[in-house]
Amino acid sequence: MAQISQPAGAGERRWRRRALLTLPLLLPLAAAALGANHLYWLWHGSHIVAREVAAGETAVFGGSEWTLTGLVARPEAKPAAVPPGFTLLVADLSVKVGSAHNALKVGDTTFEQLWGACQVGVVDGQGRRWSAAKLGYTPALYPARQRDIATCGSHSLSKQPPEAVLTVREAFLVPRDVAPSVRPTLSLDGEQPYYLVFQRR
Amino acid sequence: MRVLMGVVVLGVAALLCYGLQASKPRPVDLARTVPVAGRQGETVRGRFLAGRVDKVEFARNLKVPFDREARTLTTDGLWVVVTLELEAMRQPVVLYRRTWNGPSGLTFHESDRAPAGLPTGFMVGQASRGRLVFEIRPEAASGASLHLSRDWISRFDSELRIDLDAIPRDPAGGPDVVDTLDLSLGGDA
Repeated sequence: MAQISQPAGAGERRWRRRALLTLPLLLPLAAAALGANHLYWLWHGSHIVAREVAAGETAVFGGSEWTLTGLVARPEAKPAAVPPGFTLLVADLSVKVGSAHNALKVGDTTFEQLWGACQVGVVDGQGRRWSAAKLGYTPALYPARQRDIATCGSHSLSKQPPEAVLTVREAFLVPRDVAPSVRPTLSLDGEQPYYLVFQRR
Repeated sequence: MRVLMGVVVLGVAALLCYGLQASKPRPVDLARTVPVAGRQGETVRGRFLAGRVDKVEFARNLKVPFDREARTLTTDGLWVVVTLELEAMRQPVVLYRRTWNGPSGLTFHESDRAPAGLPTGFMVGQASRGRLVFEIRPEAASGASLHLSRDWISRFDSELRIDLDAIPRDPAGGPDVVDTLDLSLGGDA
């Protein structure tokens, strides 16, 4: 006890003061280090920044080439699913799968990494969004014989070879009055925070 | 003397920590969904969702459709049927947390005995009307509020808190409880 209660030496007092003075510096640094991961995922975990794609143009996104080839209302494809005042809007995107994953092993492809959580949506002039409708079995839109026509999520799991040209077809339930003006959007895991907005013809 | 000073400093620090813990909001309160308060009968607008509670009904027994016939559900407490209308405003919205919050803070989740009468997914441009059924304790009937949110912890989202101040009342001032409420007819939902 006698040793403990001895007054601190000059060296100890100096270091104690230094430690105290570094606290205002270290605490914000620690907070920033802990928060950086949250900020990273805030930026890379959601689609925030739009990239416009002019009508008929092809955009490189997620290692592949995307073109909007069609956007038509087809309420007759599944009338039972269409609520009153709504219509079924069908968007067709033509995709040429990139060859970036040629060098990679099967199951470890950029195709799967970059196309993860593939989301096609539509957005209107006021920024209101609609995501793809869950229609279930719809042979009128996805004929069994045409294997190259499927939803984006379905294609992303299909291990398509490089340079394959696919049609991503998604259907949306949107109010009839905004159907002529909505524009399709495309968001992929590997490209966030960027997403594509396609201009209509 | 030094030892005594140490004890005093330690005591003050402990008091300060306790005060912080008791008086300050927890991190989860700071980061959680933002409550948006409203009242029964008015349209309450959150960030992504607008909702309006039209009617609250209390019953001792509930008649529900079950496999083409009606089945009566009894309870030791009370059945509450809340009729409401919801619409997504900006983007598709899902709503998993729909709770009845009593005046004492008791929280009741949707009953899993009665069939769900409100979808979990809502889209822009289509108002969905439906019923939520809760099985509550009688003392939680008056002065309650309905909380609606995706999962109460989503950042940058809001939680609708609708005060249910226009519930049906009996002459004594308590909640007006009917004997049997029939949901098998479809009602106005």
